[in-house]
Amino acid sequence: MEEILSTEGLCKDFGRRQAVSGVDLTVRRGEIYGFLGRNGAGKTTTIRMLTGLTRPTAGTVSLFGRRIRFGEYRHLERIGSIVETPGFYPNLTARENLDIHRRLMGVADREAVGRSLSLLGIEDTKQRVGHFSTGMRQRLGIARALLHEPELLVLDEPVNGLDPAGIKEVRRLLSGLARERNVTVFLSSHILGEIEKLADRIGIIHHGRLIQEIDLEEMERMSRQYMELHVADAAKASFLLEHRLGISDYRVTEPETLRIYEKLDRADEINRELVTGGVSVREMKTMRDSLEDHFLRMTEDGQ
Amino acid sequence: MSGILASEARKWRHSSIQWVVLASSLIPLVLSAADLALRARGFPDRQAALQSNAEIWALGSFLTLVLAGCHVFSREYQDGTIRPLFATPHHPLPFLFAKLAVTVLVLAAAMFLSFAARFLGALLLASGPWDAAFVRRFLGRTVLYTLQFALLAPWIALIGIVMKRMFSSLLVAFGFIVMLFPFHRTDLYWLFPHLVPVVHFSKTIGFDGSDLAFRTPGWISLGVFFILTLGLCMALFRRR
Repeated sequence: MEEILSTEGLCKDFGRRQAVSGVDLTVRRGEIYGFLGRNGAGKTTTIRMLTGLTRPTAGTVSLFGRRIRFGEYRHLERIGSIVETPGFYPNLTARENLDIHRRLMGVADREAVGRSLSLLGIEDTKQRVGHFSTGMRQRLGIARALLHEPELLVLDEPVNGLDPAGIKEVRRLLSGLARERNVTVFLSSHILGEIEKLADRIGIIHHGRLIQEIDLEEMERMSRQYMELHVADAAKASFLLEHRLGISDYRVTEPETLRIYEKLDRADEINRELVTGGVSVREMKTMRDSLEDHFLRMTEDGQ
Repeated sequence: MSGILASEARKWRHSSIQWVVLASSLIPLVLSAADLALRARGFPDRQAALQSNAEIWALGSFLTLVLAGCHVFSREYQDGTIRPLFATPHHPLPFLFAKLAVTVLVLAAAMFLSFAARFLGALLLASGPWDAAFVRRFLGRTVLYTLQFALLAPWIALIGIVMKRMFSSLLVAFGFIVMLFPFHRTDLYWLFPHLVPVVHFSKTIGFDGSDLAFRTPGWISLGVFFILTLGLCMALFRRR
């Protein structure tokens, strides 16, 4: 599949601090790429470099199969973006704000503004954007990004501030754009559930480094099965697991909860040993890691 | 470029600051009315009162116009609209020039209005029929000073771009005024053109400025200052 966006060794330093370090990622045409990371992981800085707002300290960005030098801007007509919180002229209405963008993007069709507004369910009123709620501004930001029918959407935390219905609507919209119009979507978020439901592939960035790039099928395979135990005394249970059953791959997640990742087929033996060892077992169940678990496990080192 | 210019004009048209600028430009009419009142009362130190009024007005107008200039530049940063602006397929320079053009137009219009208001006030106050030579001289100077005044635009732009927030920009502008105030000697009415050639001005303390338009060194320093400021604006107003 054609690569729409790729980076090679992308770095950004702010003085001595390295915000992004050697990021290599690829996004293919028509896919939804979720860019996951904790606060300050380097998501927005990466997006700023992808959209030409920030000069990379090192590395390259290629868009639509062509290496982009910093300062080039022609390719931006093929990209719709939200970077950080979407900014608008507060003294203008939604339509006036989008009309300014329409002119700047060189869209001759005046109806494009109305179409974009109705697509996001924004009423075309006389209300000024300064009076809009955060959610409304976010919707308007998405409407602006879609106005010129871009081939690539780069969205930084697009569902921030939206209510659950709004989130669902945006999810359906982005999914539809990718499936029906072959629009490529690159979106960053820290709302893991959203990424899980939406993205075809996921990149996890941590301390400025892209630590993993996986597709959802791979994610499915990688998500580990485990046995969750609710016990009276997790410390004593840990001791018994290690010394009587030889289980070392386990985690104490809460004071009375453990997760065992090995010997899952020996549930009866585990139960017996714990009970005979004096630890009452309240509940035992086999579960599978969610993206959230995986993400937390991947990014917990060094925290 | 026309799309960018139209967008800039639209942003300005919908701004409430235009009314502040308009009101500030018409203050000379109020000053004329104040003069009438002073005359009617036979106020003993009328000249000093008029001078004081004019100084306060000049200072206020200057700040109002800086506010207008900073509105064009620093608000883009303050409201976060600079990012979507730079995410469009245009080089930053057309944006800078469009913004400068709009600022120049607004400042020039404000200056022209001020002069017109002053002229109208003078007419109201004049006892006899006005002299045709005076009108010619007055209008000539108006055009000249309006043009000079337009040179303020890149300076205001520079403050707006560097400070990135309207309040900070205004504070800096106010700082400049306070700094330059002691150097000024006679007529604060000409404050605006005097602020532009900072280099020239600082070299000639006590420089009156009323003959600024006819002094070659003044124009050279104006030109140098203009080019340097514009260069700085171009260097700063870009994707980074």
